[in-house]
Amino acid sequence: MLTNDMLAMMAVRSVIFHDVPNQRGDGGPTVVLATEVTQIDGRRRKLLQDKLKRVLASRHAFGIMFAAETTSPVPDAIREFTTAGHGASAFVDMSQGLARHLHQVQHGAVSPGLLCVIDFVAGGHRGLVLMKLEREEGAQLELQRQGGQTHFEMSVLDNLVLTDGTRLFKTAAFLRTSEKDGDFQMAACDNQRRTTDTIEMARFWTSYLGCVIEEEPRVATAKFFSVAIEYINTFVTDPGQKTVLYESLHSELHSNAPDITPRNFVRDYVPNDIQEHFREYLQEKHVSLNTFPKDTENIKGALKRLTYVSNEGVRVVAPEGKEGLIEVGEENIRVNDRLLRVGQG
Amino acid sequence: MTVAEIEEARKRWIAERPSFVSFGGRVENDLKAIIRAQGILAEVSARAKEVHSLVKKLLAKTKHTYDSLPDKVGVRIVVRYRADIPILLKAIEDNFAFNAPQDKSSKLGNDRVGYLSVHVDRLRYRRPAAKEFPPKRFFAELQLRTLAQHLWAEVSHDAFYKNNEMIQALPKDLRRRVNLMAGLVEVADREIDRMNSELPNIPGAHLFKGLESLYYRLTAVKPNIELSLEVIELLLPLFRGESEEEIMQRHVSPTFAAHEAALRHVYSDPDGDYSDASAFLFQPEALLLYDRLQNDPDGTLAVWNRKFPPKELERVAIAFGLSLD
Repeated sequence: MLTNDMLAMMAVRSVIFHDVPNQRGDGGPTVVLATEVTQIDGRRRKLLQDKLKRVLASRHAFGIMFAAETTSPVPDAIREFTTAGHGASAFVDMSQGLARHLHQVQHGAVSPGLLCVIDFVAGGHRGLVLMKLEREEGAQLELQRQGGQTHFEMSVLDNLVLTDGTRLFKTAAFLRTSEKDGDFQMAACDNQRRTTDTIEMARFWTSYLGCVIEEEPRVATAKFFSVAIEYINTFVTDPGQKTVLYESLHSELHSNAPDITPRNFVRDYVPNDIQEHFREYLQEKHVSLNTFPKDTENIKGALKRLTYVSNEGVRVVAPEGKEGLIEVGEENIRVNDRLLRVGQG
Repeated sequence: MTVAEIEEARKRWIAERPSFVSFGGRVENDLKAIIRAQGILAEVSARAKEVHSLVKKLLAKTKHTYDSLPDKVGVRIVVRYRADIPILLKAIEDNFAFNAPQDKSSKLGNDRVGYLSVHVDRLRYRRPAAKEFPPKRFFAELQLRTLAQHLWAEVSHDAFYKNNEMIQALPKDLRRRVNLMAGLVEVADREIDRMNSELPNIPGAHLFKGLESLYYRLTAVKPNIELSLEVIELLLPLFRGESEEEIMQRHVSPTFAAHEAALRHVYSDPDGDYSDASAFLFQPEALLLYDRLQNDPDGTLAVWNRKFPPKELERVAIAFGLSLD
């Protein structure tokens, strides 16, 4: 994951835009490649940096890593460019390659738009940001052609990136922290995902980048669930509070939302006086507080039952959909059912 | 010095002054960094003498030659409190060589008042710290004083009571008034120092002092203390009953230490352009906000919105590489 410290030190060097329509396979609109970077003034450079920090440090950002097996040329392009010694023309060439690849894979329901590639440094390290921007309706995209060279005007940045309220949907940052190929800090953000997306659509951005999410969603989901349960069992002493937290956790995992954001879960459901401790506990146990895609595959069984734990350690487990049989009062827990059998262990 | 020697000194200084200007600039920058590392607010300035000023000095101080003149480059550090002076002397000694400092107050004894400062002669780089400024040739005179001492030094510099010899030559009543005024300034200097060490028993005062010492390690921009106390009071409940000392020790100081490099970067924009920065960035409590935004962003946002514009907190967060989104 790209650390907050590196983001604090981020300094943008160059920016280039390419217009990437959808691939229709019928000779439709072709990719419009800039051959020069877009000149930006100091003020816009700062605003752009701030916008990137806001997105990449947000709770919706997630850690990614280069996929072991990928057909995407993006990882190699990033690896090569971020090694020392690449200048302005290499930046333009590399970014054009990234735009061509986006054009090849971008079809069907994926929205067309502009690919913005940013060369940056942070903490003495070299990095790249890739952003896919949607054309705003009515936004002017001024492509300048002069002496055989083309570039997009600074107004593109104003219209598509810096406007108040503009959300950068698909963003990714790669910062090389040493000469070794595995040593990158990376983060991505994909705020465009919808509950109705197919798996292919949901993975479009990471797949284009040739990356996978740092932690498999089913592993991250299971880890969040088990650590949260562990916390509730260990530190939440009030039985009523305990039940509310169990229920909230289960309903979060059963909901249709495609992602989980543990930081939001803590904010919305955990009592104020233990929020910080809960967050610290999750972090100690290496549970990301940021958004990750929800996948309950590994905890299917655990989600089918709801467990109530009394002050003295008595456990009552309710099967899925039968929670109504349990009544939790101030002083007692009542099970509205007949005893079937008593077991040990 | 003979007329010919003075003429020769003038020519040499015209030729050599640019390299001494560079030396002064380097010393000034290095001293600023040393002082900043101590978390002390100070004004630092260095300058190479103008040609006419050098000639005047050689004419007035006949014991000196061009080569022996100790203050071809003069450096001045002005601090707020007397207590800062020994701390800075020690820090400077760790980085520079110099002759034994002269405390002008000791020269006055216990029955006279007047010019107070610490003077350091032949402040120079140790080999091989700055090869381009060999210590035999490049040295400066350093004056280290408080604001109150600076007031007296500045006012008396161009007056007939500049030094003890001149004071003794004054009419008796005027001499008494000069002494009384110098005494008043010294009393004020001591009282300012004492008041600084005796903090008022108001919420936030201890925390402000702790934050201030870290803040001045990052920047010399003076804050608005009233605003600081308001913000500190607003944020204190987020620490759930911990004392102000505990907040510094358990939260702010460790967070600062863990992220010092990034914080330094935030406060050292090469263009010095902070036009889009939050008004709260150049306040010591920005470091308290930084700690809370790292550890309790939602709680911080909730209390902040009760009193201050959310956009300002967002700007602080973004400057520190954090996001409220």
